[in-house]
This record gives sequence, C-alpha cells and structure tokens, in this order.
Amino acid sequence: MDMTTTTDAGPTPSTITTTILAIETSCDETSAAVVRAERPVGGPVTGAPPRIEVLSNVVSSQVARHAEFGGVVPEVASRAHLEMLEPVVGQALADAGLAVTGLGFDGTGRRPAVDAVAATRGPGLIGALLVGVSSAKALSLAWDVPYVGVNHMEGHLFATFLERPDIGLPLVVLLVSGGHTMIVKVDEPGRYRILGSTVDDAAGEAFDKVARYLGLGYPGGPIIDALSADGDPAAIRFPRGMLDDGLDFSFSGMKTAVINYVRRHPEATNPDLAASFQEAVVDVLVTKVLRAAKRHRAAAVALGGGVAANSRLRQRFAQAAAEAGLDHLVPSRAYCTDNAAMIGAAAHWRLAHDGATGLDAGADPSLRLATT
Amino acid sequence: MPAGEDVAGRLCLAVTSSTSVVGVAVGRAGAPAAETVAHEVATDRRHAEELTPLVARTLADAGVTLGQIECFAVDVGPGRFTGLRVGLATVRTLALVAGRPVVALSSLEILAAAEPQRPVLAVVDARRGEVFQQQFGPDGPEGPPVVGRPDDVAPDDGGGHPPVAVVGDGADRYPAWYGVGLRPGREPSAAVMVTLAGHRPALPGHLVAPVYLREPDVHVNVTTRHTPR
Ligand SMILES: Nc1ncnc2c1ncn2[C@@H]1O[C@H](COP(=O)(O)OP(=O)(O)O)[C@@H](O)[C@H]1O
Ligand SMILES: [Mg+2]
Repeated sequence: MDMTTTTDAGPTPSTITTTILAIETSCDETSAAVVRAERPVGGPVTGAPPRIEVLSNVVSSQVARHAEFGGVVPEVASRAHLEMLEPVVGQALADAGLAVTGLGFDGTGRRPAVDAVAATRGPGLIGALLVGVSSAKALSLAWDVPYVGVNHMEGHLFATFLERPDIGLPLVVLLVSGGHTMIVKVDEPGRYRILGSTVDDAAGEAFDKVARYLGLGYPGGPIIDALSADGDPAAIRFPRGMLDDGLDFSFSGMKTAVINYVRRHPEATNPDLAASFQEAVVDVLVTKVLRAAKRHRAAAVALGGGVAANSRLRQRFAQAAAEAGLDHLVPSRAYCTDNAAMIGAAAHWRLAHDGATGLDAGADPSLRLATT
Repeated sequence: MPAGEDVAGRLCLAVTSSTSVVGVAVGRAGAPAAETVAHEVATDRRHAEELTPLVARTLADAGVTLGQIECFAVDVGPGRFTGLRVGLATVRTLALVAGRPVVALSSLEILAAAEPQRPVLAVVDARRGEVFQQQFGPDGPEGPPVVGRPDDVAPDDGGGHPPVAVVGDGADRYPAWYGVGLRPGREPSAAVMVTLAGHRPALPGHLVAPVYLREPDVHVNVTTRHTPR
C-alpha cells in the first residue's frame, strides 16, 4: 500500500493517512468521491469519529431519466450507472487533484495516489449496486489496493461526521429518504441501535406519492417543499400518523387522507394541500426524533437522507433541538441526498476496524444495518 | 465510430458473463483456444462474486500481470442484463486503468465460433419465455440478432436455409423447438473469445456498450388528481 506515514516528534503514536476513492450506485445517483483521513497506527480502533477531508464529491443524478415514469425504474437506473460511472470516477479523481493524466488514467501503470477503493454494497437496487461494486473491485485489482464494501445506511450516518466529527455521543439520527425512515442511536461509530422505523411507506415515498396524485411531477419532495411556500400549513388539519405512539412511523394513512380530502374538497388548492401535508409529516418527524433523544439520553441529534433537504423539516428540527438544549446538526443538502463522500467516510472507519473486503464479495439489496 | 485497432498477436484478457457461466481467458489474440489459459465457473446469480477472483486466478495461472495485458475482449451480449453489466463494468474499468483497447464480441457470435458446422444457429435464453437468436453461415451472420418466443423465431422445417447445428442455453431450454441439430451444453467460451479478438477491431473501452436488444421493463401504475390547480 502506498501510504504516507507521519511520525510526530516524541513518543506519540504515528498516524497513517489513507486516501479512499468511494463509489455510490445504490439507487438513482451515480456518485464518486475522494476522501482522506488520518488514523493512529496499530492498537484497537475506538470511539471517536474520524476527521474526514472531502477532496471531491461528484454526483450525477438520473432524475430526468426516471421522471417520465414517476419513479425510479430499476433497469433504467442500472443502465444509466454503467454509462455514467467512468466519467464520474474520472471527474472525482481530477477534482481531487489525483488524476495522473486526463481523467485519472494514463495506461502507463502509474496510478493515482489512492490507498483503497470503496463501493456501496447494499441496501439498494441489485443491478445498480453491482455496477459500482464490479468497477470498484476491478480498480482494487488493477491498483493493488484494498476494496471496502460499505452499507449505504452506515454511509448516511457517517454523513454527520463529515461536518461534525466532534458532535456529542450518543447521537440520535433521523434518517429519512425515499426508501427509509428510521431513528438510529449511534453510541459511537460502528455501534448502532434502531429505535424506530416506518411500518409502511418511507417519508420520501409519501411526499412522492402525494405529489404524483396532485399531478405535480417527480420527485415530489422538492416540489412540495417549493409549493408549500405559497400555501398555508394550517389550512387543512391532516392526521399525524402514530404521533402519540412510540418511535415508529406510519405515513400511508396520511397520504390517503390527502387523497380523500381532495375528493371531498375539489376546490382545495395545491399550495395549501402541499403546505398542510408537509406540516403534518414534519410534525411527526420532529416530535419523534426529539422523543427518542430524550428517552435515550442523547447528547446530540442530527438529520440524514434525502428528505432532510426539506426546508420546513430543517427549520423546525433546528428550532426544537435548540429549545431542548441539544447539540444538533442540520447537514448540508449535498450530504443529505445520496453521495459517495459519506460512503468514503464510512469506508475509512470500516477499513480501519474490519480490514478489507474480499474480492469475492457481491452486493446485498436488503442489507441491514448491523446493530448492537 | 473510429475504425478500431488490429490487436492480433497481442496479449489479451477475455471475459464472458452474459449467461450462467462466468469465464476468463488469457492468451495471444487470434491464437487457437487450446493455447490460452482459461477458467470458467457456473453460477446462477453470483456473477460479480465470481468474476473478480477469476480474473486474478487466470492471470496468476498464465503467469502475467494486469500491466502486461495489451488488449481486452468482452462478451457484450445479448444475455442476462446484470451479468452483462458486471462483465462490462469490470473490463471497461481494467481497460481504462491499463489504457488498452477492448474488443466487443457478441455472445451469439462467440457461441457460433465454437461450432465448426455451418449454418449454425446460436440461441441464448432471454428469460420470460423468449430467446435471443442469430444464424451464422460460412461467411458470417445471416441477418441481425432477434429476440422473440421460440415458437415465433425458431426455424421451421419448410424454411429456406435450415441450420445444421444449434447451440446455446436458449436452445437447451426449448428442445421442442430446437431439437434437430442441437449440440447441448454450449456456453460462450472465453478461450474462443481470445481467438476471435485477433480478427475484430478493438475500441476505446468507453465506446463498448452492452447489447440489450430489449427495452427496460417499466411498470407505471399511478392514480392522479387529474386537474392540477
Ligand atoms: N426538499 C425536500 N423535501 C421533501 N422530500 C425531499 C426533498 N428533497 C428530496 N426529497 C425526497 O428524498 C427522497 C430521495 O432521497 P434519497 O436519499 O436519494 O433516497 P433513497 O436513497 O432512499 O432513494 C425522495 O423521496 C425525494 O422526494
Ligand atoms: Mg439514500
């Protein structure tokens, strides 16, 4: 391995700088990033989250290709990943200043100064995942560096550490995306407990389905977010699914309530419907994540996943966390939606903790977060 | 499309993963299959798990490193979509790193090349009751590859130019339609690909794309409020 070893003067342990090229192709974004971090050499890997420097983070979204279908079409996604992956990886290397020539490959056997290659191995769409995994394993073989397979959900959790490696632990994260809605307690990197999750639709899915019903387009989340600015969040009192009931979520009934309301009140305007629905979802999300933090004595709370880009959720979450006196992070939007930088961050920790993943590894579409 | 490069005689790494067999071979492009080092593994769905280690093992057995490989060959289908993408993602990435060109070979022509008799009909299982099929005569393909149900595309007795040999897992699966002349158990061979690579143009890897022959399956099922307001 081509690693830089820095030995400080005196008896302090030496550190090792590891540069990782990470690839994310689990759903409908093709992404590659280069991240760099230091860790101590030898000894057990413990507690504190690594400080990760993001040298590049390139995301190519396929949203336009799926829009006409009103949702992500797996085979369309897989085909697009194969088309986009090489340019995206090349751009990530170039942006990081690691390109040997052109887009990072010069065919002379010289290779970029990359110490490991990582890829999301699940959960996600199997055909999509396998494009990233196959390419990452080929890079590992060609460059003779370790390969690291990463859990996408662990990646979302590590997005928090990209911006706040010093955030209080235990940390409670609300992960809300198109495919997932869960509250996760992070005692430290690698030690997780799922405190609550959705019993039916994911939050993002609910946004998308409501938007689709209203004929607003795809993906629905950002459209409802934008439309809500012109609507009254108190215009319609939609039900708050399972609000008083523990830490699990249910959004399916809320979506149905919107549909039933429109049938009975055809005069209702889309901005009022959007703002009122968004308010109901945000109410539930904020109430539950703060309830979880209180019950489990969290030192901090954070948001993650695509729905964390929602402006109303960001605003109400920050306000509620501040009122509760909790350290909190509302991550940059670029680290909420799928991105390879968060995969690289998780890969760095996994490589230090578990070592490399074998080249005989594949992908697992229903991979779960390992919990304690 | 650029004209492509002649790679005859150059050290070639060939990969097939379009069917339920993953194969890798190393040899001089154009050399007979018997002069290559080749391995294959049967797998239903573990193409990605099998392929990378098989590339490493084949290189080791051939006593060469990736850096010594001068060209690549890849089976671009038609065949199983996920298997194809595993092969393409792997080979294009290796070729990009090495800065070496890639020969794209169709699964049907690889199958046909392993059979000496002509005309030969190559038939690959396309799932969902269909096959990918193409016939090859003494001078090459007789028409483009087609996709369809065996009862629609299989040659009938009356037809002009019946094949004397039939090869491929699609024919194995539908012996009622392809029984006459069937040579069972044939899969695309990576060793044969090394031979073919000496007679086909090599292109920059990013120009090598899968041959799907079928549009993506799309299920759209939505209820909408009809009049946005
Ligand atoms: N501003 C927003 N408000 C609400 N939802 C949003 C917003 N931006 C994105 N989303 C939702 O986030 C989801 C996509 O997030 P992502 O993390 O990519 O999900 P996944 O990986 O599970 O598909 C979609 O359901 C989309 O509608
Ligand atoms: Mg995600």
